[in-house]
Amino acid sequence: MPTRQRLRFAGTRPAFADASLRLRGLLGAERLQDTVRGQVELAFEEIASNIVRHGSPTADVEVTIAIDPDEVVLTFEDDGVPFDPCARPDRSLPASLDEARPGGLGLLMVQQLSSRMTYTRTSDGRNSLTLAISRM
Amino acid sequence: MDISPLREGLVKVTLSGRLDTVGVDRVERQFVSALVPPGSNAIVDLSQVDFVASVGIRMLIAAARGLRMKQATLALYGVQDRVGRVLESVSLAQIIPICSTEAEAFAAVTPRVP
Repeated sequence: MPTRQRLRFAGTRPAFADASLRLRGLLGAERLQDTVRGQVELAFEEIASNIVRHGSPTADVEVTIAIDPDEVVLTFEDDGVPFDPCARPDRSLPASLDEARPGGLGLLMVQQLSSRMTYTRTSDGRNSLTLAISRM
Repeated sequence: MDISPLREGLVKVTLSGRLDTVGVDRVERQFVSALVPPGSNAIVDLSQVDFVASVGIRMLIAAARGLRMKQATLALYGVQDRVGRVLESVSLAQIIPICSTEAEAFAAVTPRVP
């Protein structure tokens, strides 16, 4: 049975921490494979923390989690500055400790675990990022 | 987090819980300052860590880089499967030794005597 859940929170670290806890509660009530659950938690952590880090504390962040039989679809909407994660060039993995640089790692991880990822700037000026995680 | 000197020049750190934004906020300063300024070799037990995000991987890389600049090494061990899959997705083992057991981690940071 497909289910749809929604989390809404302000762009502050405490609100984000609280939303992470609520997400884990929601996922705990669903019958998901451990791997998929971990991937959903990771995608949420990476994308939402990025919004909070770069957005305004008064930002309004809304995350929809649709659990379908074949995939989990996460949609992140926020009213922060325009940011298209899909437009970022693929970042290669560091080959040595000397080459390892901070930044971009989280996005790379999300690109790897998503089966598809699309971004639009909505007509009312919000970032909207949708990504899917396969359950197959 | 538990930090215990094993012997001269070798420290063992046990991390636990989640290495996400909230978890890393809690331990990062103490983790990096306990390891990097003394410049001791370090083995890090991850067996009680059940989630890792990029912020946690960055903390481990920062400590390993800091130690490298002091000619010291950091090795990880005891990684749970779900955490291991994430570390594997970014090929972390290419830049930081990831071992199965404490003994292997110990060997990875101990210079071989010719």
